[in-house]
Amino acid sequence: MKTRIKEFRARHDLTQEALANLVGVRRETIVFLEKGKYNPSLKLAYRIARELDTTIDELFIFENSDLE
Amino acid sequence: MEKIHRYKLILGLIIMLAGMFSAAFLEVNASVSILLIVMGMVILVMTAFRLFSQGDLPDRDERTKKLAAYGITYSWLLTLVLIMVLYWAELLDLAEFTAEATLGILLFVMVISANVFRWYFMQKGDVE
Repeated sequence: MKTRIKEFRARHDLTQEALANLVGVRRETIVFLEKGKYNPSLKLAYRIARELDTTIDELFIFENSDLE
Repeated sequence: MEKIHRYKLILGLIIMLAGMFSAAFLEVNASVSILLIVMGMVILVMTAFRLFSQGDLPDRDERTKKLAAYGITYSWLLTLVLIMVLYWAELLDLAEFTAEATLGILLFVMVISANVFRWYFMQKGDVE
């Protein structure tokens, strides 16, 4: 899974810690999300998308291999 | 300060004071007093460290809860294997275990392995 969280976070001039505060998770969780190492719950994905004024589709990119 | 942190600090303090009290006024094994004091200090220090390093951020979220649950699951499986090993070792007269020793082994293996697995998954980021 790839994410565009870092890109959208930069557009909103947010640090990882600030985004973590906004969505109520630890900073490390944002770090692992940005690296594509953690698959978030739908609820967390929605919260992040909402804070970054975008949609889940725009933020998380799944390839066919990720869905197998 | 969150309630859970306050309770942990109080618990650590109570355990530590109980250890000191038992060492000073009760005739108990010295190792029990030392264990209590160390346990209390560990709880106090770890809670204080988390409190000051995390700031306003939560110390638990969906990822840490999930990884902790997986850590306990893997630890449980490892303990099950260990129980089988101990059972066969006892049955085949390879070793003799008292009930106290068996319980002690299981207690330490469960607690330590759950934390080791959780730490490993935390480093990896996720369990998948």
